[in-house]
Amino acid sequence: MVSYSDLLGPLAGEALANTYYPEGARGVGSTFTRYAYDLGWKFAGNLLRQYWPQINRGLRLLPEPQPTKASGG
Amino acid sequence: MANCRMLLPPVRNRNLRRPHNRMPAPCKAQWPAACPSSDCCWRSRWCFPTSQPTEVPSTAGASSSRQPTTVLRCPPSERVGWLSLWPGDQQSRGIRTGGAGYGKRFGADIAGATSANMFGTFLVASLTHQDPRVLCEEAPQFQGVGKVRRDAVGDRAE
Repeated sequence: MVSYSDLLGPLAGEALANTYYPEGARGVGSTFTRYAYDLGWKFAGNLLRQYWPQINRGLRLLPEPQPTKASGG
Repeated sequence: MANCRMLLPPVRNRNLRRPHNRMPAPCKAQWPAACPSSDCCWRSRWCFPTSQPTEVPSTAGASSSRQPTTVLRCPPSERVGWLSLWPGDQQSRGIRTGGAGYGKRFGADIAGATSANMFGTFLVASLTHQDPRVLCEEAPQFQGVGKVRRDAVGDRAE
């Protein structure tokens, strides 16, 4: 399922940004440039969220949560 | 590529090779006026050169030969890549530097994030019926992420 809201939302937001951006930063090219930046940041953020356990394990940044022992047995 | 042509005091060639002598020199136009050319850009009120200054031979005659014209190449924003995020490049786009420019850019970013959030999580999601409630109804196997999924899997395992 394509997440249209995640794709069209930033585009609409950047199109709306043309109303309050200065003259030099308006236009179709600037709009899609900002939109590309938004998608890039979102892509990077999703990558970080997806692979954070591996990154954390590789770099040993934070102690890994210990698995809870099953009670009884 | 257009150049920022500036009149600088005469310098010896060996000084040009020293890094501290490669400091950018002010453009002719007074800040915050418009840049002399489209390839010229303000960076903190200074013209930003890409490479070392190169002296060009004077063509105005012997009288001005003692004051050579130094050409400082200013990079256009497309060529400097991530440097276009610098406030100085925003200056060439009409956004001033300094505290006021920072505040304006900060406010513009906040406004952009808010509008994108409104469109992305409310308006477009409602029109396309992709809000989380609909997703939960259409895809009951979706159990969320993080703690919700761990709880669900843990409950099943137990």
